[in-house]
Amino acid sequence: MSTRQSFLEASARERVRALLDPHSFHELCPPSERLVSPHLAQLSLSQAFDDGIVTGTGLLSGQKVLIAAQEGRFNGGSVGEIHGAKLVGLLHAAILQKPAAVLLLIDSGGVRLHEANAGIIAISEIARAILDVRAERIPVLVMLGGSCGAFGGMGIMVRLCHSVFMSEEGRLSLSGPEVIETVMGRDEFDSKDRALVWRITGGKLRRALGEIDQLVDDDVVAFRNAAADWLKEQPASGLAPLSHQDLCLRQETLLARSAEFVNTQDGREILAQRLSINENQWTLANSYEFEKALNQTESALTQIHLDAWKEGLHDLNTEDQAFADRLFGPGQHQLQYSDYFVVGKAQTLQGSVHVIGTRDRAPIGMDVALKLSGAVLAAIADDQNRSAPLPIVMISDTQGQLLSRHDELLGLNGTLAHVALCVDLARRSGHRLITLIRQEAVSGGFLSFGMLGDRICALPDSQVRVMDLRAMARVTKIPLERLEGLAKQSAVFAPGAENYVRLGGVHEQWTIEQDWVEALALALDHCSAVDERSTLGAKRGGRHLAASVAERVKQQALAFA
Amino acid sequence: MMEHLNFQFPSTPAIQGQKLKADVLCGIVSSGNLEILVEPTSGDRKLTSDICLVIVETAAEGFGETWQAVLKQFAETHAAGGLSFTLNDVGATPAVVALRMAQAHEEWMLAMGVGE
Repeated sequence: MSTRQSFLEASARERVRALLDPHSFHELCPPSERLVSPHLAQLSLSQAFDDGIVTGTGLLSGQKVLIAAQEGRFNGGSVGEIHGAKLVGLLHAAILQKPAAVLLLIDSGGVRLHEANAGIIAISEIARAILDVRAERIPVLVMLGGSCGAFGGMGIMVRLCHSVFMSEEGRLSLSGPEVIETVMGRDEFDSKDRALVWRITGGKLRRALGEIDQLVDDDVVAFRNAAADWLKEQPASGLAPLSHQDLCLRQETLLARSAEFVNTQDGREILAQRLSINENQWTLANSYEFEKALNQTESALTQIHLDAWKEGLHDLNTEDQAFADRLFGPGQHQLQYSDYFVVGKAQTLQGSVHVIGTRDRAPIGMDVALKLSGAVLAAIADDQNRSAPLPIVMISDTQGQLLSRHDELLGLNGTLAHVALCVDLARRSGHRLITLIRQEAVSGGFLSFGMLGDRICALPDSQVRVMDLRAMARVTKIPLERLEGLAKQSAVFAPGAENYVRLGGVHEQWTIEQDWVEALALALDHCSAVDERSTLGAKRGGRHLAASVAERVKQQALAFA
Repeated sequence: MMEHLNFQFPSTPAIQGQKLKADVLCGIVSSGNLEILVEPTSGDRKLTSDICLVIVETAAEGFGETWQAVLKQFAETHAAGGLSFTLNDVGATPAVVALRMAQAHEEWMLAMGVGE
């Protein structure tokens, strides 16, 4: 019997070495360059010489690939300023270098809370970079089987990529079970119930649901062989970018899934529906047996309407009416809303615009997310014959993602990624994208929609954050008083729109006194489809390292070729 | 708070008559563990080929004497002259430190093409 090396137990470096052809790995910005996080040091926390991510180039079955691997055991594989910038730099190198593929070994809980603002902006920059790589037809493959899985923003990133290979032991979701239990109570999600966590977030459930492409045994050689076989199947011309039709199909699939499993709280029901074997058998099945027993991975598309997002729309209430009057002028808008969703058209000094967004501090679950994506797809279709498609004003008013076991089970991370793919298609179809932050913009709800705008404007008194300081103190085990003290000096982790402005994550902040009609026209004028947030952050002094580290990784990759 | 420690120990030259060049990283910065970056000291003239340099960044304060004892023994029992070891430690026990130092040394020798 051959000895098997567990992917789960291997370190990031061991995974990279085992995946690539022997001696072909060349590390970019290796540990000897000591690109350590200055923000961890400021909190007197241990740092790592690679900031928890390995980036490099190498060969897979003789073909050139770029590769990144997160180290889940260093701060939960979390994404901080440098960690994120290394990945962004690698992706930018891919665009210029056109490797056969980019391999991402994701193992991360998401944003590094110790540098939360820099972290979420970094993840948003990773999103833009992945989408740019896809636009160049370069295949991006995710391999998932580490101890941290992929949660938070990284759970969304995984689903922006072309293919995902995952072991049964891997986990893929948005909010962690512990977070849901802490906020919503144990009845909602008992994070100590390991089997339940596995049936909500684990590889087998994700495969049965159609959220990943292949189940792989927890063995580095199995991952290597699967990746090599996948690479062989990629067309030489690359992968065609997602079309409007592709995303409409995806929209239908997600709507059908929500309808089919409307009350489902446990993955058991989905597995039973999708497999030709019973629970005992699927629990014990290896990846080969499991793949063989799969009947289908998608819900049947019966009675699904693409315009379901229009259901229940009614006229604005007085508060929303006043807000829209201020933004567009009285009589200059035709907006409607339903619960947390707002949609319509409006006139600006620059002409007509689509308006799509959320309201009332929306918690973004499957339902709201699919309304956003549905409306964006409709706006693209509306303007397909226009030489200049109308801009989309994206109103971001969200407390973050909905904390719900049911929504996590159905793949809220993948649904938010779908929203992001729709917004990206709008940009590439020629729509300018303006984001207006109203009241608050928080974590996943902001990341998958508003943060993708060409220009992001915060309205007066709006709040932007990843998590409030009390929750942050609980998770990081750093006393609240210490965090409050540091928050006064550091824009990197303290909540606040002004901090995001300093970091380049928000382009501008409006004032009460300002004429918003004029401000909106100016913002439309300043839209740029190129992501310049890291240079903006450096220029404004809030984020010194992101731009230079990304550039350094990119230059080393280009120099090595 | 973090503590910064700096040690130099006499040690047999790692490799005789050959330019030292490889860098090696060993271990992971996680609770009860540490990472060690091994590099040649040849850039620094004050550090001759019979000196082993160890720099420690540790989350556990006040263990200077323990570090001294564990690292001194390592330098005495390994050919580590001309090398620097930089440690990022999160409260590893002396046994784990000794093990990782030996492992890091061995991996560096392998990277130089010298099996032990």
